[in-house]
Amino acid sequence: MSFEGPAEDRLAIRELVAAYGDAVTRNDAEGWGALWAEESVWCMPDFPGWEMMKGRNTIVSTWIEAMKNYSLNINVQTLGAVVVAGDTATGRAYTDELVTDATGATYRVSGRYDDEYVKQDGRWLFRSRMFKVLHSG
Amino acid sequence: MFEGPFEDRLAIRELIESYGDAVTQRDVDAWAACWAEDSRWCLPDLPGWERIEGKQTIVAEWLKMMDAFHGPRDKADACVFISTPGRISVLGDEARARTYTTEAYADSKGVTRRILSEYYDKFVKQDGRWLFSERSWRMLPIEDAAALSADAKSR
Repeated sequence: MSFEGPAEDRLAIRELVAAYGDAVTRNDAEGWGALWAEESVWCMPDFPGWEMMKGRNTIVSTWIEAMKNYSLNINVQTLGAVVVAGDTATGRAYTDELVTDATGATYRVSGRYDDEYVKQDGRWLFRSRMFKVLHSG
Repeated sequence: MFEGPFEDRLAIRELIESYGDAVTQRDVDAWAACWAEDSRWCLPDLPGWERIEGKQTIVAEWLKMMDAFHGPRDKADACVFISTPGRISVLGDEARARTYTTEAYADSKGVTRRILSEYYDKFVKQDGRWLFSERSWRMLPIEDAAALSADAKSR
């Protein structure tokens, strides 16, 4: 898939993905919610009950509940590919997470997001993210 | 330090990330597309792979390495390979970088392991595209380096 499209868009999408990890790390629901388009979809098929959330309000309220399972989540995200086509784009991002969960266990998670982005009023936002855990431990 | 034209720095950062994406996706065509024809890959920590020359040989040796450490070729995501540049210097159609990587994979017992390493990289711009002309890899010291080394020898 590689990287294609205008440099300014590629940089802005890189910053959107980085901002997502930053908002998770700081447990900042407002900052995190501002990264999603109104009509967006968040899929986490590895997590029963969170297979698919639709709409920003539902996505943010689900995330606030999900984050209660972690006293710590240091979440760094790195791009693997971005292809921009006008005001939409697709991409892949990898996560490197250090988490402490509700049981007190601390471990690292390596995962992948398959993403769709949309540019609205000059700002890039997530239109959909699908998360898959690749390695954990 | 990062120096040189903005678009070149961004393209080189993306090349570094494309390399990791191709390892993770187990996509040999995408991985090969990151290298210049006349390139060098140096892995002094891995006996037999200290210095590999030429794109064709580099790709053939990479396939052997992936088979040895990460199981069948159709197994995507066997190794999650994440890279971040620590410096990039662009001088015309050539550039250098230092890159840090984390590789997560399951060892021979199915336990998740992580290797931290650094690359000294050289790049060349050909027909408007940045490519690796040289990658030199070194493993960084980590807590369970002895266990990782023992596991690698047992394969």
